[in-house]
Amino acid sequence: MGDKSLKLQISIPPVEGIEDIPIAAIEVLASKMGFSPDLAQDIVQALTEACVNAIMYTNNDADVDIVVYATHDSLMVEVRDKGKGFDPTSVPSPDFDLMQEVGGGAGGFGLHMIKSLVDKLEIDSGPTGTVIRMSKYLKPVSSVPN
Amino acid sequence: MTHSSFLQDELKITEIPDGDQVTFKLSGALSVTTVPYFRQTIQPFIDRKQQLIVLDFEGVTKIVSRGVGAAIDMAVQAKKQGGKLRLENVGKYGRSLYIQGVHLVADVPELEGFEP
Repeated sequence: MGDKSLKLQISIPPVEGIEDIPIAAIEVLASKMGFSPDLAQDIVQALTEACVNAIMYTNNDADVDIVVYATHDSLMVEVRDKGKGFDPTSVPSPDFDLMQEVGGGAGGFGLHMIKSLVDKLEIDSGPTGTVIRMSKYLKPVSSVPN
Repeated sequence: MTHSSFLQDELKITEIPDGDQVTFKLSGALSVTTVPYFRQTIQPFIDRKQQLIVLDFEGVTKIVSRGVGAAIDMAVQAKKQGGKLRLENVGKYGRSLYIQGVHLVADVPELEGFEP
């Protein structure tokens, strides 16, 4: 691929289960870029979570856009929805002590999972929609210049 | 969100009883759509204080945090009833299960000594 970057965009209607299609495409792209199966699975899992949330919380017919930016050493994926948005700072981190008492209903796991699986996560959310921007690097993140 | 009959996630659960143990072979997606069926199928065995409930993930094609959360609920409930939940053949989903802390409430042999 050299230094030339690649942009790929897939728009999907907010229909349950359709996220498998762009996710399969991005898994193939990650593999072709040289991501190990484990790292490609991290991308798949984070993207699954982001897409499912985008579809689930879209309360209109507007498409969910998945935009991928691939460079020689990184993959950035944006999931854009036009739902009612949320305040990311209001989502609590999971309380594992509480979880062991009351179970998985303690919440906060989806966002926690995404954060844990990608190297960089940015969330822009407002009343007209949300953009979840996830980056994964081929090199260890400590060696990637800011 | 809307539904489509041909895109809908599916989950098939096969029950294999063996004395104090019952194994459920999961085949398909553990997703928002299938979690209610997943809960309904396993819950009666928790209620009847089954000693050991095994979830075999070999045939799982997709998981979401809500599905993992359901498994965590089951493990906590089983423990309170004096039983135990074990997850087997978690394979590529090990890291996601670890991140959600499943190993804190259930037996996950593949996650023993796991370093994410």
